[in-house]
Amino acid sequence: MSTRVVRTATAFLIAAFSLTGAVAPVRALAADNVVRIGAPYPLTGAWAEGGQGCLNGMELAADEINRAGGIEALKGAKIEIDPVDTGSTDPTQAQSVTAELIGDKKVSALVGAYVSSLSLTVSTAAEQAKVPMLTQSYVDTLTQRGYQYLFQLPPVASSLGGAALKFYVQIAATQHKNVKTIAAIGSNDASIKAQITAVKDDAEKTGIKVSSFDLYPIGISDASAIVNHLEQGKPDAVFLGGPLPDVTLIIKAIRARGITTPIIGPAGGGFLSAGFAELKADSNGIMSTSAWNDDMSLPGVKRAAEEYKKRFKAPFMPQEAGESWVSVYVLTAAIERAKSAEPEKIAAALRGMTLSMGPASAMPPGKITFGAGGRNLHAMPIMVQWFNGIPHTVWPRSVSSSPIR
Amino acid sequence: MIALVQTIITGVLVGSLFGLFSSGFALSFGITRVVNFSHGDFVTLGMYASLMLLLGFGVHPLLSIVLVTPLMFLLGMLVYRVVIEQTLKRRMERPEDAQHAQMVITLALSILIENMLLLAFGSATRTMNGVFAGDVNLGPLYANKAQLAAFFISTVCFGILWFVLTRTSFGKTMRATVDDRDMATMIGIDTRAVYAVSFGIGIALAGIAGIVLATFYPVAPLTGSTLIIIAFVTVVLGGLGNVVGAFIGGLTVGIVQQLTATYVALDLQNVGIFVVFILILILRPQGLFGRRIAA
Repeated sequence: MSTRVVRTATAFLIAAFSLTGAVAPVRALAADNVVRIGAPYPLTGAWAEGGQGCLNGMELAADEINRAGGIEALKGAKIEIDPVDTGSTDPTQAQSVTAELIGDKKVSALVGAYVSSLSLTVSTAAEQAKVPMLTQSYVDTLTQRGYQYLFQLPPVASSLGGAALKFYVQIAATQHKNVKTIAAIGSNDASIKAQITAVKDDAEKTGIKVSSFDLYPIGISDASAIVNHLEQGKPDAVFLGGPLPDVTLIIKAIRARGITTPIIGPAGGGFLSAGFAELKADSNGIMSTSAWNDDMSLPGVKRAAEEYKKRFKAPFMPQEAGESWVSVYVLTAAIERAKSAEPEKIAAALRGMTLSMGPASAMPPGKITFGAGGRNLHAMPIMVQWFNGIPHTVWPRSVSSSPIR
Repeated sequence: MIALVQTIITGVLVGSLFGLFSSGFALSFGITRVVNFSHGDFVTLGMYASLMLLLGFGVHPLLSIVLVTPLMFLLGMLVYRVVIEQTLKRRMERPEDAQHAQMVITLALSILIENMLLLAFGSATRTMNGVFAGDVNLGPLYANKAQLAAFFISTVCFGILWFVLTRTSFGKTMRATVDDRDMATMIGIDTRAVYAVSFGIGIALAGIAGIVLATFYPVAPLTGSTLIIIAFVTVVLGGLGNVVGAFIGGLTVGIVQQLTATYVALDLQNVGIFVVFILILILRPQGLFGRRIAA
């Protein structure tokens, strides 16, 4: 008798598990006709400002899409953004909270995680769960690991560094200046080090002398040694990268010494956050490469930037918010194409599509195609220049909105 | 040669500020035996107080020192009475247990202050502009005006602290309490008040360091937590609990950091500090100015 009960129970359990497995593919579209997109970001700690900016950008895009009727292919399904706090310092924690988010909320896709070190582990959680993830992070390694579900929207770190030098040489030529010597200074973290090393290598390849190449530890307490090196080398331009507190300290020290040499950031770090405007007059004229800016003439950008500024009381829509805003549109386009909210089908759609219309294409130069490794094949850096607390797109001319000052 | 002199000048200027906040840390530890992990966060509070007074009311940081220091002193006393003292009241099996509790409590206090600042001001970095701007040119040498001001303020504050500790009756009561708490109590010293006041002075010094630091260093909620490591090194280098040692330890740390950054590698500047730190621990475990305790 007892054996029969056990057998029956076992059979019931097997049937139940089979049934669960059978219904699993449709669980991504919830009963309330909502498509959930996970947003793992650092919402506390040192990177919280950037993480919140990313989340704001995603929510803005979701609201725009929902107001316009939702996802057409899924009978007007609404998009819901499900955030989770990864913290700012622990990549392992970021991975575990993302795995929980995927399991608990049954998200169809992820957009995250802003900071490269966090994106590296968050994308591992996404890959293991076979959930597509779009990232705003730059580091080259992300798309060198053979992952099938990771899609990198912006240009990679090594190309941004090279672009910073190339663009500045072109800009200097328009001002009849010849760049013969540069200084390259960056924090010694993976992403910035890759960018600043690319600047140095490209300069040496093109016959430009590198008067000083300094890597400093994050949280530097004094910039005098850097300024002394600069003063001795007398460069025509300074390429500087690092987190906002460090670049602020260094720029203030350079200008305090009376050195007026142009300063260029190789993207990322402190040069593109709203806090950079705190440098007031010292920020005027400083340039940085970027992956996105809110004054570009690309579909939907102007409208989104106006709404972002009004809704979040911000002086401008920062780069990371813009990339996150585009990412939600890209995912929506993939869901429309796949006619499904299934993670695997969305990933398959992302792999085969080219976006060249609407906000889903609003990354320079206005076209997105993901290659086999997940990189955006058309990703193109742009150069912005700070003036009166706002970054203006100044180069290349095809996308510039303001003259170089 | 000029580069070497320039490096040492910068090291002294930077080190004097390390010395100021470390001497507050050393004072708290030397008298109360409390390892205050939140000391750096009180530096951050001083930075924000100075910044807000400047941005909100146009108060110059020099005037902020006069306004903020008494408040920081009272805050320090309050923290001691409300938080730290509770660990001394509880009956512990071993004296180390009280210290463990204090470490956990001050660490919690650090997390609390950081997150309150994050809630109030966000994680964005703020910068003080136009105060002590530019460098002073001394022939071929330079000195940053803000760092020069920091040096003078730190030296004056340290001088006052040294005078109070060595030349006043209150200083004598503090030293008596350190030497033998029970005996001090028996001869009528209110040791409970001495502990609270010492802790308050330590926090006030952290506040002054913050106000001065904000004139040239970016202000962010987590700034102070990075400084606590330097404070630890400085205090151990100078001799645990020795206020003079902490100040000279601060100058040493500043000079070593600048020499390493200039002549070895910029990204190894803190490695230089730790190499000297380990050497001192091996050759003179009690620190440069510490007393050797008989076994």
